This record gives sequence, C-alpha cells and structure tokens, in this order.
Amino acid sequence: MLQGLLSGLAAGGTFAALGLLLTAMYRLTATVNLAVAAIGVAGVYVMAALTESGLPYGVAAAAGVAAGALLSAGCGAVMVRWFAAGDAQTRTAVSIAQLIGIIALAYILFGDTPRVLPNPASGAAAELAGVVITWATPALLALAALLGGGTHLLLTRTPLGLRLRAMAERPVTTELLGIGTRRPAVVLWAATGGLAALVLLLVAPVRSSDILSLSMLIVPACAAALVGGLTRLSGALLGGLALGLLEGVLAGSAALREYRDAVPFAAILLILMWTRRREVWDAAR
Amino acid sequence: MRPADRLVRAGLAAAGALLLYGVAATLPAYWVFLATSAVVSGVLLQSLGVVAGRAGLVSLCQAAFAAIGAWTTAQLNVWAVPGGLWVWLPLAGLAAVPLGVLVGLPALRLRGVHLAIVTLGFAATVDVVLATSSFPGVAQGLTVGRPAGLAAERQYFLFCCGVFALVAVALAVVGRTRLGISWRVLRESERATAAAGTGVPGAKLSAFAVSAFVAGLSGALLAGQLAMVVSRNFDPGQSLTAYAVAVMAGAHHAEGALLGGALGVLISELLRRFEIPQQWANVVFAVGALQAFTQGSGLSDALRARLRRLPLRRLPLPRPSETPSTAPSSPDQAPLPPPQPATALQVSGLGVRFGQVTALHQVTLTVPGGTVHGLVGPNGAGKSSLVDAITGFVPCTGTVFLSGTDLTTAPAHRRARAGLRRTFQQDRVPTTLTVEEYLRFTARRHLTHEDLAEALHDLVDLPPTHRIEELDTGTRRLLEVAGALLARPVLAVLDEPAAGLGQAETERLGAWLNTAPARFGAAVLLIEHDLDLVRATCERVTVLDFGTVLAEGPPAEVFATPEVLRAYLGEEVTA
Repeated sequence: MLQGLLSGLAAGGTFAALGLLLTAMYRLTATVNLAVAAIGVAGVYVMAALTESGLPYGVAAAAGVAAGALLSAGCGAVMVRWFAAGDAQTRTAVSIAQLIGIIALAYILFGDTPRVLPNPASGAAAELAGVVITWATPALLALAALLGGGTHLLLTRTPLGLRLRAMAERPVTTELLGIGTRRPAVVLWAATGGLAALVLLLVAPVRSSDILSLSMLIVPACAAALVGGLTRLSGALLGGLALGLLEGVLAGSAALREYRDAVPFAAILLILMWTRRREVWDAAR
Repeated sequence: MRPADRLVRAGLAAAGALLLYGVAATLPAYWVFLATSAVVSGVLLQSLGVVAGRAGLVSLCQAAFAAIGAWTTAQLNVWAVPGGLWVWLPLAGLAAVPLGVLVGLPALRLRGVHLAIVTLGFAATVDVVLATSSFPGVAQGLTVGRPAGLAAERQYFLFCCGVFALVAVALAVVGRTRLGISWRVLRESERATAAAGTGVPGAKLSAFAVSAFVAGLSGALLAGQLAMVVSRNFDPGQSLTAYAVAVMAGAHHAEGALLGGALGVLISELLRRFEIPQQWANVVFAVGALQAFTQGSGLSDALRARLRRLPLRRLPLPRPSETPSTAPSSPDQAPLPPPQPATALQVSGLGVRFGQVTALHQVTLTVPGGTVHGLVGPNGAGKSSLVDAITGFVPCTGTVFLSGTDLTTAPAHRRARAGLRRTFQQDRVPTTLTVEEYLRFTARRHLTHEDLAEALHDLVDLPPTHRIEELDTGTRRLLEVAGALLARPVLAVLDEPAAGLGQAETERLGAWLNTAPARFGAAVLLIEHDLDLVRATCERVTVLDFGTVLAEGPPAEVFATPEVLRAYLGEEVTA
C-alpha cells in the first residue's frame, strides 16, 4: 500500500502539472487544450533527436522546451487568428484537430519505433519502504506546486492576468475596449507549451516512449482538471495527486493492474455526475 | 415530395446501384478491397453524423462503439452462431447500443468540453480493456468467416454498399420524423427542445443509441472484411481521426460520410504510391477539419449549398401571400379549436429561491381561458423566473394547475405536451430547420399547408420552405410565437415577444394576438415591457415587483394605481 502510494507520487505530480496547465488555459483562453500533452511529447522527441546527434543533454532539453513553446505558439496563433470569437466547445474541437495533426507530424518526423530516452533525474533521491524514489518525483511535484502558485499569482495579481481573463470570457468586448489581447494570448500559449515539454521531459523516460500513449496522458490530466471544475487550481492540483496515488495503489494489486487506467476514469465520471447533477439545462436561462 | 422529385430520386438510386455493380465487376481486386474500406469507414462516419453532426454532441469514442460491434461479431463467429454475417451484423449493432446509452447518460448533465473529455476517456478505457483481453478467436487463430454469397471480395463490397445505403435511407427517413428533428433542435437549444414538448433525455439517449448501433455495424463490417481484427484497429487515435474526418466532410449527410470514407482511402493510397509516410493523411484531415471549423460547415454542406444555387428545375414555390384562397376568408369552415376551460392557469403560493436570493414569493396568478393576460414589472422583478417556474424550467414551491390538472411536479416537456407552451426572450429558434419543419415540430399535430398559411398570413409573410437561418431576428421571434400557438395549447406564455421588433411589426403582433384566443383556442400570458402592446391586447394585467404581486386588474385601472406608478414607472406620487 505504502509502496504503491510512493510509486504513484511521480504520476500524481505529472497529472497535477498537466491538469494545472489545462485549468490555466481554460481560464485564460477558454480552450480545453487537448493537445497540450502531445505538444510536450513533440518537445521530448526533439530533445531525443538532438541528443542522438551528439548534443549534450542540457542543450537538447532546452531546445526541446523551445520546440514545445514554438509549436504551442503556432496552435495559439491559429486559435486567435480564426477562432477568437468561438465558444469553448468549438475551440476545444479545434484543439482535437491540432492534436491529430501533432501526433501525425511527430510520427512522420521521428518514426514509430520506441526509443530510449535519456533520463535527467534517474538518480535516487531517497529510499522509503523499499521503494527507490528518483529525483523525477520531487522535481515533478515541485513543478506542479510552482505551476499552481505561479498561475494563481498571474490570475489574481497581475494586469496581464486580468486582461486575459476578460479576453477568455468576452473576447469581442475586450477587443472593443482597446485591449490588444492577441499577442499576450500567443505568448501564453507558448509558455504553456514550454512547460508541457518540461513536464514530459521528466515523465516520458519512466513512463513510455510511444507517441500516442504519451499524448493520451491528456486523459488523466483532464480528469485532474475536472476535479477543479476546469476553473479551480487547487482542485486540479489535489485531483492530479489523488489520481496518481490511486494509480500507484492499483498498480500494486495484481488483479487490478491491467485496468488501472480505467478505474480513475470511472471515479472521475462519478464525481462529475454528482457535482453537475443540477446542470439540467444547457443555458443558465 | 412531388412525384417528379420521387422519380428523379428513384432514377438516381437505380443509376447508383448499376454504377456500383459495374465498379464491383470491373475493378481489380485490390481496388475493390480499398473501395470496401471506404464504404465501411463511411458507415462509421454516418454514426458520427448522427450524434455529432445532427445532435451536436461531441463524441470522441465512436471507434470504441465499432470495437464492441467487431468484438461481438468475432464472438458470434467463435460460437458459430447460424446465419453468418447476415445475422451477426444486426446483433453486433445491437450489442453496441447499451454502451451508447451508457455514454449518453453522462451527456444528460455534461455538455461541450466536459462531454468531449468524458467520451475521450471512455475511448481510452475501452482501448485498455481490449488491449488486455484480445478479440475472441484471435488467440486460436480463428478468422471471421463469411457466409456463402459474401465470400468473394466483390460480393462483400456490394454487401457493404447495401448496408451503407440502408443506413443512409433509414437515417434520412428518421431525419424527417419528430425524433430526427428533435436531434437538430437539441443541437441548438435543450430548452427549446423541451418547450416543444420533447424530452431532452430521450433525444440525447436516442441519438447516442442510434449512433452506437450504426458504429457497431461498421465494426462488424470491418471484422468481416479483415477476417481478424486487433485492438489497434479501434484505438482512441481512430476515434479522434474519425471525428476530424466527420467534421471535414460533413458526415450528417450520407454523401458527406461516403466522401469522407473515400477521401481517407484515396489519400492513404496516394501516399503509399508515392512512398510518403501514411501519417500525412492525418495531417490532411487535421487541416481539413480546421478549415471546416472556420467555415462552420463541412464539404457536404458546401456541396449542397452550391447545388441549391444552380438554376436547375427551380419551380416557383407557392407563397401563402400569393394564394389568398387558402387564407381563412371563411373562418367558420376551419376546424373548431377545442373548447376553452373557464380557468386556463391557476398558480398559487409560488416561490422560487436561488440560493439565498428569493426571486419569487407567494405569487398567485389566475389566467381565465380564452383571454390575453398581461404580466409586467421592472427589470429584475421576477417575470422570467415566474415563466421558468410555471413552465417547469426552474424548481419552485407552490402549485401550478393547468385547466384543473396539477402540473406542479411535471417536467418541462410534459407540461408543454399538456398544453402549457412558452417562448423565450433569447433567440432559440433552431436555425437548421425550414419554417415548415419548425412549425410542425412545435405544433405536435398534423398541419396542412392551409393551417400554416392561416396561422402566418397576417403575422409574417414567409414561404414554408424558407430556411430559418436566412431569417432576421424579428421574424424568428414572430415565428416562435406562431409555433407556440399553432400547438393549440391551453395557455401560451410569451416572454417579451415584441423585444427587438419594429413599431409596425409590434402593431401587427398586437392585432394577431387579439384574435389568437378565438383562432387557436388558447389563453395567452403576455410578458412585455411595451405597455402600449399590453394595453392594446390584455383584458387584465398583473404587476410584479421584487418577486411579489403588486397589483392585478384591467390595464387602465392597474396602471393608474400609485404603487404601480411608483414601482414600475418610477414616477413620484404627488398626491
């Protein structure tokens, strides 16, 4: 049990970090960016390609983060150029198209043979109850905490956060007020892309190196974000951690191991159905 | 449909069948296999056309439904159930239906982005389960056999075409029924669906169930085509791609689904010929879907719009205004509306709370049968909350009786069916319908062209074949009012019908409303800020302020009482 919990910490940090990115993007750009994990995966593969060509890991990783940022900025540019006035459902559907495109491009550029990814944080940080905890775990947890705190400050304390929130809720009104929101929005997309790449750099070496299954990390990330109703950062953080721990515990059970990806999803579905049981109608009035 | 149209359609169908037969007989075997793939994925796209295209519910798990169909087929094959694919195919479709309903259940409360996430999660879950427990027969190397008559690739191709055509025809027929129209109304507004007397849960679940059935068919067809399927054929990536292709091609029309399937096969074959990685196909679909999103419609809609603009066989449509003979010059010949009850609506002790805020408190309201009753009050007085409470869109305390029947606990669509209709302040008239489709859908009774012309002729001048998306907001508003009364309800609650109308239109609406009780046998509760319209139409009026009834009586008396002047008109009482 304790072993399961400890081994689930890294996954918890991953889900929480990606869930926080989703929550921040939903509040600031009114998009559930289903491509956010895939963007991170693209960054990881750029890193892998560069290390294989002989570059030192640090440089390659920085290039991977930059590639994630650039790719995400491209997605964001499409979003603000053509779908600035679209509703959340349309923008999310657009991100589905982007997800498909990114996965396909990643397969084209990097092939579909799994590769060995260099792990920057493979060293043991501690050993508890017979479980070796690598540096990736505290790094992911710290990253999640930083993301949560940073986003909270951006949203509540900065004029930029205020502008972006206004843009997410009423894009046209905000533009009419003379507030240029396109450039900050693209910069925000770039930042989330870079951060997603950072998260994936830490988690990809220990999880899997298949492009599709890494991109599907978006499912538990969405589940984490949904615990916070896509709007509360604390909910996304705690939801992500809880999901990771649950996954760790289930992985320790022989009977449930194969279905560990399915069980948290079912739990989330029940939570969602309960919290939104009064949402009988599509529009408030 | 006109006989000429029917003849054209029959001819087209016959020509299509002949063409298919020719294709099957002459094409090389490899191309027949590819064409079969195109048709099978066309069936899958049709399933998306139902749930996403028509009902507007994002579903990212269609490949999972198809997987259920394929799994069932493989299992029936292992059991050697007699009848072969002829029997297995419908069974496979049916097996997917419970899953469809299961995914539809969350959709009763989750919409848009939430539903997208849940369906994607469902696809991932089914993928995990399928990957761990392989398809029946795969471990023993048992392939899905085809019965005699379908064994050859060419025969199987024609069989798949037949299934595609059957699905297309069935969906086209359903599309014209109440059920099919309710999906399209649902896409625009759940509230409008319920207000027309159609239950939202039924509409959503039926869309998912039908969609899962069709997707299950495509899975079974794929199992029959490939003889052995594995979980990779149905991974979440397939679901996502199918969604993108459905959006790009416009899969809610059969030709769109076929086009999407054909494009998929064609692009992948071209890539293979030029030795370009297969994944470029998905890039094309992603860009195509983005393009469709910017246009707001897919290829099939664009094609249909272009065809409509062609000057082919455009017969002049009979306009109701040009055929005065159908107008009710002799009202006594029209079928008599049902007798009117003495009391249409009786509301007592009604209260609505939103958290700590009391929106309505102890409201009592009586609307006599066959009259137009006004309900006025300043903004925030609780008028719209009262409408929502009476018509069942907001939970409330107190009682609501409609001509003596207790409707207090009935859901909104049952109240609408019982004869309690409403219109909305917001524009909720579904834009994808024609005027005639919309009026038939809301009326819930058989309407002749004369009925339509009679209801509309002195309100709005509209040919019944006109598409609602081409109408301006004011016309839509009048159309909504006409639809509510054409249902011949006991009571029609009209929520600010004159908002946004011009002076002339408002006057026309007033005159029309004055005759409405006699023509449709309905009482009217008119919520309105335009006091001239209220004076011109209402026998009695109720004034609401801060959630309570301030005054009630004939307009002339009520508008002269000092409390009303103070509260509503903001005038200081000097006396």
